[in-house]
Amino acid sequence: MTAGYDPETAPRLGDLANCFEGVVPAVIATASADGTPNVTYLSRVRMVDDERIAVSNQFFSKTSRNLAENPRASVLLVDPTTYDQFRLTIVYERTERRGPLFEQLRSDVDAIAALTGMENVFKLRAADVYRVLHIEAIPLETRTSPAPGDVERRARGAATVQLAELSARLSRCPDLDTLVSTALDGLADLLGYEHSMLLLLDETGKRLYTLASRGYDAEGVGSEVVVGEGLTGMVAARGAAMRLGSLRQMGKYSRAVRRTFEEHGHVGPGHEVPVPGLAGADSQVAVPAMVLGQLVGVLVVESTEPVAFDETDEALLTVVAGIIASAVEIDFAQERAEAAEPSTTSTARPPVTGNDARLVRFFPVDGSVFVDTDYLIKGVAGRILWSLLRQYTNDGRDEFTNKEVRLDPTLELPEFRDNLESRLILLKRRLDERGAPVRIEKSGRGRFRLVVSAPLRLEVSSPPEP
Amino acid sequence: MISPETAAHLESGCSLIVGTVGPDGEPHATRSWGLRVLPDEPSRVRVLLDASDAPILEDLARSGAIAVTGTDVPTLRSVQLKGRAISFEPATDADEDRALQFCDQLITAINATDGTPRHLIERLVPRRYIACVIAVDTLFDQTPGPRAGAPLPAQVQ
Repeated sequence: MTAGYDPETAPRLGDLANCFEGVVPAVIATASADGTPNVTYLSRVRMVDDERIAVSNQFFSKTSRNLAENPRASVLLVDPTTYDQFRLTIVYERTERRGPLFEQLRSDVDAIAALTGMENVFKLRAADVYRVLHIEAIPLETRTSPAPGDVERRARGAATVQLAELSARLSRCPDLDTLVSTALDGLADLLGYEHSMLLLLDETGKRLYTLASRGYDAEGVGSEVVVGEGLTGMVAARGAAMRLGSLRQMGKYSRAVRRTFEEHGHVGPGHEVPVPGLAGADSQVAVPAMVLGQLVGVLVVESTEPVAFDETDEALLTVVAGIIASAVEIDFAQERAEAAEPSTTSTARPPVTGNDARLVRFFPVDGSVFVDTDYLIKGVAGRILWSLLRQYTNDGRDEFTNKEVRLDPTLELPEFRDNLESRLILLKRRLDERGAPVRIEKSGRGRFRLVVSAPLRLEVSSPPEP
Repeated sequence: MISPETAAHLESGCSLIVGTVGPDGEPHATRSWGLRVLPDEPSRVRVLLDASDAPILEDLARSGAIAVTGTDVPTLRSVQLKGRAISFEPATDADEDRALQFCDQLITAINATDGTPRHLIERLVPRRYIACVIAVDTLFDQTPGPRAGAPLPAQVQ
């Protein structure tokens, strides 16, 4: 035990919460039975309780072999908000290969692996649990003191009151489109989450598509994430929230591991998984939007600051995501109920004409739609747009009901759950975002209007021969 | 024994972490603030340690066993050397200059790669150094991944 160690004044493990966010890599020193030390970085350390920490074990490393011979180890931790440094004397206690602690660390490691598409290669083997014998704050003979607010956390002092206000605003929204905008605006205005996005699960249950975002250079509406891939995809697959406070560090580590695997032929050359998100994000929280035990979507918030979010953020966002999920389900139920009612036919109007027609091209193979040479949208939303435009140019129709769209056989919408309303919102937002010569306006419950601002020339295209 | 390439890596502004072990088998972790491969003795290195880190200095004085891992900040390419401390002395002016240069390179690399403000990282830097000469026995590739801990090719002789 270190001379001068006073258990009364020594830091407690609970005081070191920031150190476990992985922003500054932890260091571990072990020693073999013959007294040869080994020193390396740890990929992930977690606090288990007031007396224990857990370390991720992905490889049967020298550290593991040393601990089998000599259970004592020394760990260096740094608080990323102050750069206060701590040395922990620890002793190996046990290894877990299942259970909540293992799952927690596995989630951490999977998140690292997901950054470079190595979910199937880079996996947690075990969670090694250590008892902390003592903690030494390494004196800092500093040149400078940390400035207050080096890492600013948003002021969320009255979070409960603000959450209640957001809930009240959401409860007053007349439709899903308004609710989605109100939710993301409220997250920023009331709770300080400046960068957020909402993704919904598609009809197949295999992909998420971005319905709305706030605080990004490009709105990214319509961008997709495969369920199970990346942090957002993993949250969808597991139905559990995930929080990362050191994306840059994790990305660096993940790339280094991937390079090593590639150099030794374990995996082929790859690239980082492109996901919609904030450039330079260092912190991210993603929570599942669930209702009645079913996943509806994922709510994501991001920050360029490290360790920007904590458990409180997870809790707040989970509540908001739940409200959104409920609203989506209520909207869906209303749509289905109204689908049983008779629809009215709309009046035909002459299409916009003129010499400078915009070329709208449709690729049936994937439902993608281009205006002139610019990609607009694809998939279900693309097929909906194409169907509407055909009716507009052929019949002069510009008023539609959700019901008739739902019954359009060319769209091949699934009978059980078609997500039509959210697809129409996605289409509306995408058309607005891209400044397209056609827009969608809601004209009543279950009704909408196509507003065309330029003459259109429609063309069905085939993909070029390979 | 230490190849020019490895020497260049260790002498750059890479992050240096140190493990020592006392006679009772208890290890200690710390950081180093500069490393130089001795020009006339390429199997020996001179590392700079925090002069106020009593447990480390005690370990080195009593058992001498030491491991140092140098990690390139942007790529995490890492090399670990293991050996024995054979001498200590207060840091010379040349050591102080080397530490200053090392810290500047390291802090610049961390700041550029991770965005951490320089003044925060500078809080880790000790005020006084002690220089320790290590006779290096073995070198390992310590880059994160399945090969971490493998002897460096130059060592397989």
